[in-house]
Amino acid sequence: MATNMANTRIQRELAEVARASDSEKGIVSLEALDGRLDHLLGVIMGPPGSPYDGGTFKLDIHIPVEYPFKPPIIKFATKVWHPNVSSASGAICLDILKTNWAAAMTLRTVMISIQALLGSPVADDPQDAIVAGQFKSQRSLFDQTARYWAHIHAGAPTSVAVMDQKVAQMVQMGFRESDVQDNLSWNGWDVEKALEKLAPG
Amino acid sequence: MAAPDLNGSFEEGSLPKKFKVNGNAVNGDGSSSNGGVGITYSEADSSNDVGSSSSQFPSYGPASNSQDGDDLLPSYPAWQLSADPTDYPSDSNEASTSSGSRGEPLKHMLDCVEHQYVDERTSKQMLDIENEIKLNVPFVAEKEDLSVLGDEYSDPVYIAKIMDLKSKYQWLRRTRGDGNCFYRSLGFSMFENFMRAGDKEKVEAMKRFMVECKDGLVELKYPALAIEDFMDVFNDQLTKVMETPTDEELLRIFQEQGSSDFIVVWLRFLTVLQLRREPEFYQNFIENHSSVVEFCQMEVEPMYKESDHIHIIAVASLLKIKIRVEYMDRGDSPTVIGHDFPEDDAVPEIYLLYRPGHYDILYRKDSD
Repeated sequence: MATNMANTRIQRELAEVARASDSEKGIVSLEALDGRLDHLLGVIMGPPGSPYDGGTFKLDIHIPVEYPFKPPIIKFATKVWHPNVSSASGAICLDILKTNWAAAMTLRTVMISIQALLGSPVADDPQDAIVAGQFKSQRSLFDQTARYWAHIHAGAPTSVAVMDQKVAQMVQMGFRESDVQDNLSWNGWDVEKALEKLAPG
Repeated sequence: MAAPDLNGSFEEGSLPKKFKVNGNAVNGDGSSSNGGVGITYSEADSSNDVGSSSSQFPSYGPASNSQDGDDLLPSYPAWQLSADPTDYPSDSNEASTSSGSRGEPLKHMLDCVEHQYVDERTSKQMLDIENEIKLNVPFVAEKEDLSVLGDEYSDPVYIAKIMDLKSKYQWLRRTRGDGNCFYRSLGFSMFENFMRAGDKEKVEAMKRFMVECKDGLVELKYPALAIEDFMDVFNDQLTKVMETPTDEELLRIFQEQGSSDFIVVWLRFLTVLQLRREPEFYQNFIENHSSVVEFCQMEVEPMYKESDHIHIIAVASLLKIKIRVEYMDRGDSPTVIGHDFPEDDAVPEIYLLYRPGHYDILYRKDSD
């Protein structure tokens, strides 16, 4: 019974998202993976006016058997620099995915809430302490890092020149590009600190 | 939470707070409050291009963190791994612990880790309690003679109150203490009253009213596809108990999760509807939330969130049902204190027993 309940509901939710108006299709999309209704791929666009503008962000969605009585399990599959998203795993800190989930919510409304969260970080309830700390104390560095990540990971059009340069400089030393990007970001773009992490001692 | 003073101070001690199977108790500190993230967005270009596949998070297993022996990703402590049955990575303390500077970021991180630890531990504990309750108490149990309550208490204050209760009531029907007990008791009593009365006209009127309520919720922007299921199950099961009006059928409906939880959710949404219809009135009862909308999102819509006076007043008023709640606590009064919702002279249709944190169903002496 439980499994059927979740499946029927998900089928209708997929149809709902597919039916949504054209303007909304650019904002949110949802598809089943390998024809399975318990593992879905969601896609949201970065909100206009945010550092994520122009980026396309994938969400990895698992549907528990008890759905809709239990919330969907959702994390970012695209890397994102945001106080409420783990920069290492993509896990999201959002109350409606935990204790405040309600059976009347749908994946569409949840994805729109996650998109809204991108535009309005809640730094006092962080998922990623380093990013949240930067958001509070070095806002412009945060904005730049978020924009840079949206460019390299989510295909947003504009990069950040100074960050490109630092990454290139360290890649020339022989480090892997993705390691360099992560470690520079986690160390506030301090090349020496990033080097210490990448080549300790 | 705001509740009219019943001049009986509720003794929390008889049901330890941490044992409440209730979302509130798990996160009693209000730790997760990203709620109310506004759903506003403007037009965006309609590119459906899903970004390049090179920018994925690695898949996380316990041992996926060794790259050239660097220590960037500390291995996850055992409590995180064991508490997580899915492949959802436990995370957040991922990045380096920034060796030298013990500044703000580190403190934040420690808060975060501590937070997670407490959350995980608490939810593990809650899960254990939840399972224990499931094993021992059905959603709604068989009727029992009220004298069984005597076995639970040795405290003279309670003994006196049980005597008082026994002078008016004959039977007790227990419900599972999972935070949904008020709604489950209400739903059961409603169905039972319809069944005993056998008035099909009234049932049809109620079902039509449920459809109106569903439309009202859709007007409030609740998605029809999510709401309809709950209303359909409520109406279908009501039809079934009228076709097969037996105690067994009634119990089956409320003991099977597939129908019982649907009815609970539907009653939660009826409560929401009434609260949202008269926000000016209900705002007066709300202390810890900024608006009726937020209160509904945090305290009414989610399963397992307990009910207070405001919930009872709202749903009783929407359904035009009179509910009497007998309050039994360690207060000094030698009698239980009855409180009627709404407060008028009509004869109550539903009787509930409230002991701190929990509702059960009561049956009057003159009932069958």
